[in-house]
Amino acid sequence: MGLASVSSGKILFEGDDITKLPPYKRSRKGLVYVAQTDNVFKTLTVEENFKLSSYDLSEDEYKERIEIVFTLFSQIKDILKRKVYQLSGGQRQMVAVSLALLRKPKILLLDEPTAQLAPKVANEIFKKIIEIRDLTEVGIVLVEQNAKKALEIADNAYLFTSGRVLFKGKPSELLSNPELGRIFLGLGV
Amino acid sequence: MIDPLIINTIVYSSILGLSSLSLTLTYLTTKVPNFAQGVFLLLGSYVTFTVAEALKQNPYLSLPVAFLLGGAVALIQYYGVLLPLSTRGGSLVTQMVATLAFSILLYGGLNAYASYLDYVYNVQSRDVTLGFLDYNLGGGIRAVFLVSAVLAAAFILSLYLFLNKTRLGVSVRATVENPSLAESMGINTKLVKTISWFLSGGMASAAGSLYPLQFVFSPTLAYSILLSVFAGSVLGGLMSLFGGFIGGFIEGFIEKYVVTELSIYLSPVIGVSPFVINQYSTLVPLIVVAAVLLIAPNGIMGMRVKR
Repeated sequence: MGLASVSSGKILFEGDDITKLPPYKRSRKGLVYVAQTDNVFKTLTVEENFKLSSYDLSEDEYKERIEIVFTLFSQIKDILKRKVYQLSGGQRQMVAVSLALLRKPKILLLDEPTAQLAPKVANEIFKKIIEIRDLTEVGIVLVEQNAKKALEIADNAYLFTSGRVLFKGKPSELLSNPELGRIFLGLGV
Repeated sequence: MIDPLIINTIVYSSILGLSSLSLTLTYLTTKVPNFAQGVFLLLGSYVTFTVAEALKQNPYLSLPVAFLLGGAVALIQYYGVLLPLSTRGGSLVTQMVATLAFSILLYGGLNAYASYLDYVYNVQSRDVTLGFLDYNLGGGIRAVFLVSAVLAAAFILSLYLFLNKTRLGVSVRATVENPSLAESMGINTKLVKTISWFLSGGMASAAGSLYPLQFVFSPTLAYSILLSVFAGSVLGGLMSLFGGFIGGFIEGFIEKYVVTELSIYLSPVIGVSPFVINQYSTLVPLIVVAAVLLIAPNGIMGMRVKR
């Protein structure tokens, strides 16, 4: 996303080299990132968060995008006026994903969206990720510690270790590869 | 007839309030405590001195000049010193020390300029006040009394409107709260920082441009007032702009008003002249900082904000 420094290699987005682009320009291109922690403006209300995230959108675009958010997360309508620091972990995560969706992503980068959440809430988030894919047709890059769950919903799987791609292919192949599964994903013994 | 002590206090507190506000602004957006803040005030003072004493113009013409010049010098500091350091991975401590180095450079430059004025215009450019060049409004009141209060109010009002009613202002608030999230949301945080440095330098110099019209000033002002500016910011909690102003104002009020009144009461008790006691007003910033850090580490604004 441009927040960390790149030691080697380059990043292409829609054919353009964006390796040296500052994060805000990447975001304006449609590459939208949801960080693992600190992914919402805590001292502001949910609505103020939305206004900030969509501050370069027109009024009409905002209305159109907010409808998508309400369709996906119907509970958000009830907490619009609440300050984010008063919300539960699951609600915050929904707000964080909504912020990203408001930005009209072409690619949505989700960094461990279920970290620090109770298993029940985590399952809820996984369901929502599938709904987002089907409803908005946005490409989603998901980095996840709950590897098994993530592989079950993914279309493609990549296994990175020490900055190198160790595996690239169908999630089912990775799930059924006993060695990689044991070492990296904690599957079976 | 207003008590001269009250006039002194209001002028000083307004100047200090604006300076603490400026210090807090760049602290919030870039997390760097700017040790050059005092020299920015001094810069403003020398703009006034140049305009009023050397060029014999209306002293208030220096206000916009000081604002623009202070803003420009702050940008030089940001782009020439702090940004190169931070992109090379310099820590906040490194950047903080760099502001001290920049302040020494600027301080030396202003001292040289003061000597230049001495020789070329044949005027005394150190340990002087320009009060005699100010407009007399009658009743012992001079224009600087009104101008300082109005300037403080105008800056605060425009800053409030800017931060709450404009897109750019809202993006400043977002950057203050969470810079990397703000970047991810498409906000140009470098632009936000540029604006905050310009405004900070500009406001401090504009405030400093009023100082010579009420008080005796000398280049040493840069460092003697720096402590008070920091004390004001700490008192304001370092996390709220308006807290910074209020903190600076209270700090100024204690230094000028409370200490003077106290010295009058204490003088007969301990048998020392009130003027001698007044010299100890420079202790006030230290006492304020120590007390705030011990009793309410988040300053006056932190007391009511419960999370």
